[in-house]
Amino acid sequence: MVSASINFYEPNKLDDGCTYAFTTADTANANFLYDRTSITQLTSVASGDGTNEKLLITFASPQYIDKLAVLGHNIKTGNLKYLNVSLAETAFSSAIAWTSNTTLTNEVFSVTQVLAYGLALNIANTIDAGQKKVGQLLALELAGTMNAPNTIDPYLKIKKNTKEKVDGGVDKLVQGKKHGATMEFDNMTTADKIVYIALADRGEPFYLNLSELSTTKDSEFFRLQDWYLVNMTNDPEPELYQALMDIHWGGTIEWLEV
Amino acid sequence: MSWTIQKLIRNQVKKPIRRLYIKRAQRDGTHESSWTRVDTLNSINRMTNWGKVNFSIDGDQYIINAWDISTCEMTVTNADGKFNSNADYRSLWFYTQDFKDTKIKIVVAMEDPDGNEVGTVDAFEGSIIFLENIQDNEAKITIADYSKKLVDFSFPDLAITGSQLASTILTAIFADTQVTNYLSGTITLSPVHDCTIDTTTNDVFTKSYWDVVKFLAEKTGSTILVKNTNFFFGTRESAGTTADWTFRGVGNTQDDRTIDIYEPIVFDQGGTDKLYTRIVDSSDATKFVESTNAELLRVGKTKTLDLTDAAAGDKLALLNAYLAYFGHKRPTIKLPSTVFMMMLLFPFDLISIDNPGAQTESNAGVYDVSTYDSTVVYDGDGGSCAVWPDVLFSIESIDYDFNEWETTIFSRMQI
Repeated sequence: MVSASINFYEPNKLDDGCTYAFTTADTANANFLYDRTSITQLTSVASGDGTNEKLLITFASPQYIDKLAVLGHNIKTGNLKYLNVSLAETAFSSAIAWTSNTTLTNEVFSVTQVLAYGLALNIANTIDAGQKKVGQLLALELAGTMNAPNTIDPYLKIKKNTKEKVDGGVDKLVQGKKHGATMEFDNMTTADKIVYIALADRGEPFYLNLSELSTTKDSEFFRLQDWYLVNMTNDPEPELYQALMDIHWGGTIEWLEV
Repeated sequence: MSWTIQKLIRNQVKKPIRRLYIKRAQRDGTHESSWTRVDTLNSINRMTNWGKVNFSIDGDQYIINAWDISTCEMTVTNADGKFNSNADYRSLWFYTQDFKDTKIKIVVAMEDPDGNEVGTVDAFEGSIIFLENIQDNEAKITIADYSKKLVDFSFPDLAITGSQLASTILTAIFADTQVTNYLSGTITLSPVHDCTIDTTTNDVFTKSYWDVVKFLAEKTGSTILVKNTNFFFGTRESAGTTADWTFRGVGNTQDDRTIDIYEPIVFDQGGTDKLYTRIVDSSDATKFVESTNAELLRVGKTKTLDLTDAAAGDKLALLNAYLAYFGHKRPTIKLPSTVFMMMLLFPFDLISIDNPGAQTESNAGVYDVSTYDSTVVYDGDGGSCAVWPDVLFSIESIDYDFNEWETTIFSRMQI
């Protein structure tokens, strides 16, 4: 079902300030969970299929969580819970659990907001009966919501060099690629206007995911795994369609990954 | 399709993966037990320039046995003070011993077309020697390989006196836990010509471990190579009879004719830059050895060895060893820019180059178009630099540019 809204989220609650404890996976690779790519996967070590691998994350201070994403995983059975004030593992209002998953590797979960002291991801069996792997774990707090944009023009910014070889041929060196888009809004509500200005004036980037605006969720920019940590790069220039200033704002948000 | 690192190195689309880690020295002098990643902090990239590193034996073409300490300079964004000194509460080093003695390593890999990370390797590990703020809210990090740590430790502290074998002196240095805290990998101490040295007559033994190690390298005809936590002191001869890598240039006939080389080859076929055909003992100028080849003797240079501290019975062997190695013309090849070699090649490794040059028309004139595929038409040797892959070259110097993702190599023909 396509959403009529677009949500913006605070940066990932998993960061360098958390404490990480894993059953077998190397804690030196904890940042694989929040390095914004599923190419690097936090992986268990010599963990038998059926033996629980616990990924325990303790926040430096309690955090609000509205959304979770588990990306690039191979979980067949397991669960994801939050740590309550007593640091006990507690199920979310809509429990997040895998009982016999064999196909899904990128998943997003909406939850009733909780104040969490950490997270516990338990993995017992994997899809391939091999080591447990997780590419990304996002724990996100809602920062703002607007009515869905009328148009979205996405683009891929690729930082690249071409290197000419001795025979005139060319190698392509890709240093990085970043996603961006221009979103056009018209008829912003009062609440939309507040978020619009706030996004431009934020002191830190924000997360967004466009899959909620897509029915098929199978195109890059609109897939479940397409979470982008971005900055709004343009200045807000509301378009006022009528002489009455407090209705009918239109505007543009241009964003680009950090 | 399974992508090996060799295939990815040659693939015409390259996607580098680079990561930077540190282990800070704590206030009690011990290091953290785990590496901390710092090229991204809170998932935001901090690197503005990854820098490059050089590994050389005989770094200066005209100096033998002089290991150039490898260094690398990188720049990072520092608007938040994370890369300031430990006096700044925001610094990564707050509550630690400050950046000096921090272990640091660069890890590289490549991404294959299926999005997998391949070939992950510790590219360069050393210690931070400078960390300074520069303009535009950036900081510059300078790192050096662990041989730099040998400069910090004083040889007199070992209390070794009298005449000792070079190997004995080296063993004592590398038994020091201050050294093995950094050089904790494979330590190879195999002087080519182990000889007895009088530690009381030469003032080098009042200086640092590093001064002594370099001194012993020259005395024993050995060379030094430092790679991450590993230290090698031994022969400069490259072992093996096959190339570790064949670079593909113009006119190559390898596989699908892909090219590994970005800039033209510089080939010194004369090979006299390190031709020493008269080796003299400075302690007694009447003692020398020289080539019996009159032409080589005429064009070669004289090398003077300070054998003052070597035992009398070892001196002739040392002179003959230098002559045997350096008394021949050994052509050199420089590859100014090639594909990034993913740390597969180091000094002493063997390479070959398949670069016969483009085919040219052997005869001027107008040909019927149907004969253009014939070798009768195209059989000229093209280009000033024609190198065939049956010749092996031993690497003496190699640069890895982590930023531009390319490699520079200087090598010498194997005899």
